[in-house]
Amino acid sequence: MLSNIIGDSSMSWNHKVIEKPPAAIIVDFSEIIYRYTPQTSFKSYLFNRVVPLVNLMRVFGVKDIIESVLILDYDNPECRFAVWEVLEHKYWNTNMDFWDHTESVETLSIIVDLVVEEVDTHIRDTLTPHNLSSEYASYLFHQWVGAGAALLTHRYAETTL
Amino acid sequence: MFNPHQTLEYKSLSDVISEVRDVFILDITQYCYYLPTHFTDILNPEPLGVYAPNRLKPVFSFENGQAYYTANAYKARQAPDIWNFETFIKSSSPIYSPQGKFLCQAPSLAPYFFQQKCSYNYAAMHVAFILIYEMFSHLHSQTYIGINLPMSALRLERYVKPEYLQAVLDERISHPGHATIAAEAYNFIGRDRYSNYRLKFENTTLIIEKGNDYRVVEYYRRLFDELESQGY
Repeated sequence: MLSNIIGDSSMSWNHKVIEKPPAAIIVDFSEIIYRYTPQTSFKSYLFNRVVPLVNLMRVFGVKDIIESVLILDYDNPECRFAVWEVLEHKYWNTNMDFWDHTESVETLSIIVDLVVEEVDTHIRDTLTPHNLSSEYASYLFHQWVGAGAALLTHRYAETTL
Repeated sequence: MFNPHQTLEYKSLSDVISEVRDVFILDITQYCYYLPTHFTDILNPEPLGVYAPNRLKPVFSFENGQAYYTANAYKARQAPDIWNFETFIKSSSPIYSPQGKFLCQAPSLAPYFFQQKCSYNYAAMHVAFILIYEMFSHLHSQTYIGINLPMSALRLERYVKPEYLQAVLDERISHPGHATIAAEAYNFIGRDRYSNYRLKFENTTLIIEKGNDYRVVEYYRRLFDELESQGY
């Protein structure tokens, strides 16, 4: 099964060309998590005057955003709303000050766009050495591995992990 | 000491985001009166609940088995005893939510404040809102369209009977007021197809706020990012 998993490009793997996309890949997202978490971010301009968003991100953090954006593949028209669907399902009734605060909602939208962009880049960077960069949209979230790395599985993978 | 922030038009990103450049107010009710039966027949009835006169949303919802408690039932930790309009309107005791929150004082003392049916065509109003939202969301792929309703409220299947859903999606059956609403909305949009918009559906009134151009927001975001990385 290990031959079916390739790791992050920052890890010391031997980069060999793989013809068939692996069933799973491990991508390290800790840099993104660090960058967009309000308590650790150096992008403080994103979190100025949006207290309801900072409070929300204590319970729905960058890890949850990454999980949500990788729930559905890009071919599914619902994928652009996945984060909001998850967020509403969990916190529509409990975090009303967030939903009423326009700046917070729109800033979260910007953060989600930035996170999606960086997640795409990270997955692509992991696959590029193996000549599989065109498959970057085919991997969906499976589970977290350690603090900031995620195990992503190919959407057509037949292997049960 | 030179401070680049002092020369900027906006002091923070939230200023750029929250700026409102124009507002358009539209009462959707006027497009949902006297609807033809061929359209009303395809719509689902309003959610089960207790409605107040001239309010679109139910004040108490009985959807998905939602039920409430009278004070006695709640204190005695019995099963909820308010589960439909009849049990609600006959209650002479205060009503509590399952979480113990006080909701209403003795509905039977003022029954004229409550009704079983919505004053408006609940489904037609929401279908009209969805059509407007769809119109705005297709203006440009990068613009942000904010709404004050949950995304689940934008699902047509909640308001249209399943056998007619495809016909509505294919626009073989359309909302009678759609063309007029669209014309008014496009008139408001004008040349600002790249602006962010916020749609607020308050009771029957639709408030559309025109925000900044998404390119302006992105420009300032990059500018603030740049300034911050330079230590300002």
